[in-house]
This record gives sequence, C-alpha cells and structure tokens, in this order.
Amino acid sequence: MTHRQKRVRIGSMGKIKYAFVKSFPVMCGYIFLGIAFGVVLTDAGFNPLWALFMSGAVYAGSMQFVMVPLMATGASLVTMAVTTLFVNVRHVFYGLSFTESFKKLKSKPYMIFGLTDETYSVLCGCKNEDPDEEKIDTWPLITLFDQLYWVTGSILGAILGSFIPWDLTGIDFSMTALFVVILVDQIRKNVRIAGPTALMGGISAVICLFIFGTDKFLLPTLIITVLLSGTFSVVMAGKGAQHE
Amino acid sequence: MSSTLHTVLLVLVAAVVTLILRALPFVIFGGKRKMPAKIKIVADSLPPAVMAVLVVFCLKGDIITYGTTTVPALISCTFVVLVHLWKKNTLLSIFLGTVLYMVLIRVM
Repeated sequence: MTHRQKRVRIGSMGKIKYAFVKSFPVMCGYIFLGIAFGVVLTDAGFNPLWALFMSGAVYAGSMQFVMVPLMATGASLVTMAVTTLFVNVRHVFYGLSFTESFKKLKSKPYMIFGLTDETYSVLCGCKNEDPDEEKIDTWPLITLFDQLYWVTGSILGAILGSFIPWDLTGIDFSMTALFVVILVDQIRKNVRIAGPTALMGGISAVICLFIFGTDKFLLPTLIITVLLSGTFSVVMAGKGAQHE
Repeated sequence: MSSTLHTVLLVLVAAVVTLILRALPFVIFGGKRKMPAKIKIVADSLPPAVMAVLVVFCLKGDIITYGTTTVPALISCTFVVLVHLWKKNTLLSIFLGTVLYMVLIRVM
C-alpha cells in the first residue's frame, strides 16, 4: 500500500473539537475509573504524587489497580515484571492495527506509549469512519486527551479520597457503551468479515471466561480470537480473490 | 535499599514492560520490513473481534455471576445497539445507554 499523504487541513480549534468529541466517552470512563484508582491507592497508604507518577509513566488502567498491592507489600522487581507481562500482554495485539498508520505521525513514540484499550478503540472508530486517515493529525491529540483524563481522575481520587458527595455508581458503563457502539459501526461497515469475526471474539471470550475465570481469561481469549478470526479472514480473502 | 526507592523501581519496571509490549508490533513491522500480505489481512480483521472481546471484558463480572447489575447491563447494552442502529450518533447512544444503566441499577 502506498502512503497517501492526502490529509484534511483542520484548524487547531477544529482539531481540538474533533479530538474532544471523539475522546468524550473515554473521559466519562477514565475520570471515574481514575478516581476509583486514586482512592484505592491512597487507601493503601500512598500519597497523590504516586498517582501522578503511575498514571504518567505506566498509564495502563487495570494494571495500575493490580500494582497497588504489589507496591504496598514491596514485591520483587521480577514479580512486578512478570505480573505486568501477563496483565498487559494483550497490548501486543493492538499495535498490529496501526503499524502503517502511525508511520505518518511525528509523535509515533507517544502514540505507541499511549495505546491503551480505550485509545485503541477510539482510534479504531476514527479509522473505521475515515479509512483514508485524512484526519490522522487529530490522533495524537486524542491520545493526549485520554491520558489527561486518566491522570486528572487518578489525582482527583487520590486527593478527594472517599469524600465525593454524589453517587455516580454506574457512570463507568459509558466505557462499555463506547465499545458496543464502535463494534456496531465496524459490523455495519463490513458485515461479511466483521460480523463473523466479532462473533468469534465474543463467543471465545464468554467460553474462556467460564474456563479461566475473570482474572485470567483475557490472554487465552485473545490468542484463540486471533487464530480463529485470522484463519477466517485469510480464507475469505482467498475466496474473494478467486471470484475476481 | 530504601522502600521508597524500591517502590519507584517497581513503578518503572511496570512502565518499561508495558511500553515494550505496546511497541513490539511496531518494532517488528514498523520499520522497512513490510507486513506480509497474510499477516496484514489478519491484522485488519482483528479490530471487530478484539472489540467484541473487550465488550465481554467490561461485562465479565455480570456474565460470570448473576448479580444485581447483570440484567441492567444486558438491557442497557441492547438499548445502546438499538439506539445506535436507529440514530447512528455515537455520543447520543453512549449517553442514553449510560443514563439508562444508572437508573436501572438503582430501581431494579
């Protein structure tokens, strides 16, 4: 595939607006998950600076929750390395969707650093509705906004602790809804491939969930999903080529 | 070794391992080496499959144990799908779905 350098010139206000709209659902999720993380962290005896340090340097939602007890009990560096490997190994699969796209961006190193589950899903959504990536210049801003939400949330949680007066239980459903919406868009755009592969992913996930339990099912699920959907898409591509 | 220094190192180890994992595909396929055609097809087919996995990941607690939020979560997800198929407006679908969920977990 040749590099198409066709890009839409968007003014900086336009970029900020686009990035804000695209990242808005992540904001709802990250601010509140971040607050939850900050609360957990201070309960374990760490001050808000640790929230800033972790959310700034590690920037991995679920992993940061797992880290707290390891830090509190002074686990070994090897334990931390192995735990991180197992909790975050799914991230290996995310980059595969963007190896070509990110080449067009000067801020590629930051984009790679910031490729969380949520940023991955938002960028998939952007790519889905803009396949020529004419608005790719907004991607670094989306990534940055997402991290700012997460950092802000975790510091807020660490400072305010459990003194938040409103009951916002359930607002983190916005993240689930975001994934559902992006999935619907992907399937609607390419039912022939995305429909069956999404079904394979979903069914593998549910089966693995019951076999491996909530803490360990993600990695086996992703391996099975990649194998199944990969085989399916290669076979379908072969069929498509024969018909042409 | 002071425990603060050790904790700082623990955070740095997590940061470095996470970054290595995120960078791996770019290190392998991001340079001059082109992604083989077959791997490209597989990589392009991944996003919907992974997204479906992430939906299950979000709902894992509700799926594995039938609790007070299971039915609200399933109703709200179905609602998000329907609203989105109808209006095709991402923020509207997410907003209405989340409001519905927050109401349902309080009244059901």
